[in-house]
Amino acid sequence: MLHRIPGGKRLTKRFAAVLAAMTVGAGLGIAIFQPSLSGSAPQEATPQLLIEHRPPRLPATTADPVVFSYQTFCPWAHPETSAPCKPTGRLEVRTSASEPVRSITLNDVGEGRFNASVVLATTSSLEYRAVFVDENSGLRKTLPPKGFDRVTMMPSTTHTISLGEHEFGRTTDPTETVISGGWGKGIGQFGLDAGSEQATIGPAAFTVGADGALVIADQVNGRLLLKPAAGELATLPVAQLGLTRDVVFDGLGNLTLLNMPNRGTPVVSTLSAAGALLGNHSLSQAIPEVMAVTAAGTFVQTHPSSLWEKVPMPGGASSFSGGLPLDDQRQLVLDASNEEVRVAVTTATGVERAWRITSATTLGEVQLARVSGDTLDLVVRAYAEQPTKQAEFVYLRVAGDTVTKRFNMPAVEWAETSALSQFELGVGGLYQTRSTPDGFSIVRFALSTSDERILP
Amino acid sequence: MKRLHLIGAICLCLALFGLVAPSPAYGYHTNFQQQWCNLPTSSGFGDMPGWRRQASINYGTTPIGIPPETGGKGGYQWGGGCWDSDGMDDSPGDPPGDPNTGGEGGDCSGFTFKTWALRGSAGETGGFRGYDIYKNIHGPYTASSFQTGDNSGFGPMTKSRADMADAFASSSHIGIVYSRTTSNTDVILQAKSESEGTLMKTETYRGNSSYNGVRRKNWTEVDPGVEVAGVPVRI
Repeated sequence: MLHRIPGGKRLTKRFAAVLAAMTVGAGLGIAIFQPSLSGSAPQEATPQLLIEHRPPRLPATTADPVVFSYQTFCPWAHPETSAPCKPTGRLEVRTSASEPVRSITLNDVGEGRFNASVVLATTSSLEYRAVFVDENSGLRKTLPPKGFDRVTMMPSTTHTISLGEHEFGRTTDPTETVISGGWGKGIGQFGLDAGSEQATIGPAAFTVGADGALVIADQVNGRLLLKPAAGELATLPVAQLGLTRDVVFDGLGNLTLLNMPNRGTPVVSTLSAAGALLGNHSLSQAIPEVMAVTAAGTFVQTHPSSLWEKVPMPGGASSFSGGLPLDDQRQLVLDASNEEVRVAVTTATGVERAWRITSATTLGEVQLARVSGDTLDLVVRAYAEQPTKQAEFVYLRVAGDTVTKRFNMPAVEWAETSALSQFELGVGGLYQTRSTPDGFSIVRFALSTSDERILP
Repeated sequence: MKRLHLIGAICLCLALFGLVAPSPAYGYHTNFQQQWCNLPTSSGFGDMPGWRRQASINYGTTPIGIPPETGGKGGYQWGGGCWDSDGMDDSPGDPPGDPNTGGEGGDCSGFTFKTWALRGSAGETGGFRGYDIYKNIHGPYTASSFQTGDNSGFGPMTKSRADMADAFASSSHIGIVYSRTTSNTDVILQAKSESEGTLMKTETYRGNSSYNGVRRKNWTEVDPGVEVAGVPVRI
């Protein structure tokens, strides 16, 4: 019961008006903030079609057919409410961009798998793409999404190098430890994201400047760290755009970052040496693997096409290629498997030089492949599962068909970097990341006499 | 004057509500599980005798959104196992290691459990059991038990032979093979961490000594990729 007070009616009216206003405000508040309370409304997957393909970029012999294998997926959330897709596919091939396209039906071999085989009888290279159509939804997908991929036959002049059986435990000590620190958020420390039921994540990548300075993508702490050639570790004052997966110096001294936004395809951001943002470019595919800078520009290899996408100048258009463009004429093409690594420098008319690196021990990923003139620098993982699990990296420098330098390095990878970011070639030699439960470090291996000196 | 009072009251309520309302930026209790999971419509969809490698990946890509090429990613919830297919983490920033934050997503082992359609109790034999994406179930297995286990549901395999829908497991993490690349890395489908969410990412788990190969048992078909393509076409 309300007590009557002087002017009570007016107060009651005011109270009622304020109450009404508060109700309206609360209602508006609920309307405005509801998404953050509830998350987004559930959505059922609309028809979609995913295509996976490992490009057979460097077949070795003309006698064997080149097999083009594709795996399709039709993501769905519930079998009763999601209509499965029913794809059919064809392979479109041509011997060059000026030649007509020939269509080959891809064989449906079940489980969403399709394949076709082609014998290169009259040509040493082939351009191709796959076109799939979901008969249920009409959805049409091509892989690569833009342009064609290329198959290039390895020439008879290919240099073949046999690594033989890998001898685990015979590793080389680094020339120096360039930088090391514990896990944490402080100065001189590196961010660690670890726990049960999740990946153990450390710094994503690093790059070496022309003067020997290191820049490290400390992704967990959301910062870039600079280690000058002569000086202490410091934080670069740049605003980052999501998780940084890779970082490289371009030829002009700018830093280029490969960032993963919260939603959307990866973004390549170029920063001046002072940290000013010079430009952003959104990549066309969602799964980046590695970024590289060559005389031809900045490139990112992305999946599912496995093509290298060129980061265009502002206002320019992207271009795509199966090999990493080294300059206007040549591309570096890589085709690695458990048994061997194939590397070729291709031109518009053929193969300039090529290598086959074979191994009796199972090979893992190719961490690094660089070609300069007739010289190939390669870092590849060798691993064994029996009798015990072991993994090491092999560094190889090959001039023509002569191995001029070779040594093994331990895989010290307690915390993840980005997939192909454990090694970098730069002034002073070969750099490797290492991580243990105690912390993170970068070590350097001198590759020549001039590398032996400790950098200032 | 009265209008000013009214407008002021509305603004005050908006401001107060904004302060207390949990949002991804200011709090972590998004109540995703309470809102969307284990509803009558999200019960398991029972035995799935036709559950194959492709079906497993079809299902496992749902958190990443529509379509995955556009760069979506799903949520990660430690101890969780319920997600939608909008390609967004609807509960970012949950404190890791706490199963009670009620966020979206599975953790790595819960995501694998549902994607492999394993039965719900350790030691259950044979067959596959499908789970609605809104069914909040983690299952009894941890990454470590996937890494070392050999039971009726899954067992060890040689890593070099791992193919689509097989997995690599360490003592703390497990991810499912989606595809292989020309660098001989693998694109791994995984509930990676709270900060990265559920996504596809290239990894080097195959050669990493911390990881074992794990294969779901009773796949109903042979390993992918072993078929020889038909009669070669001469070009």
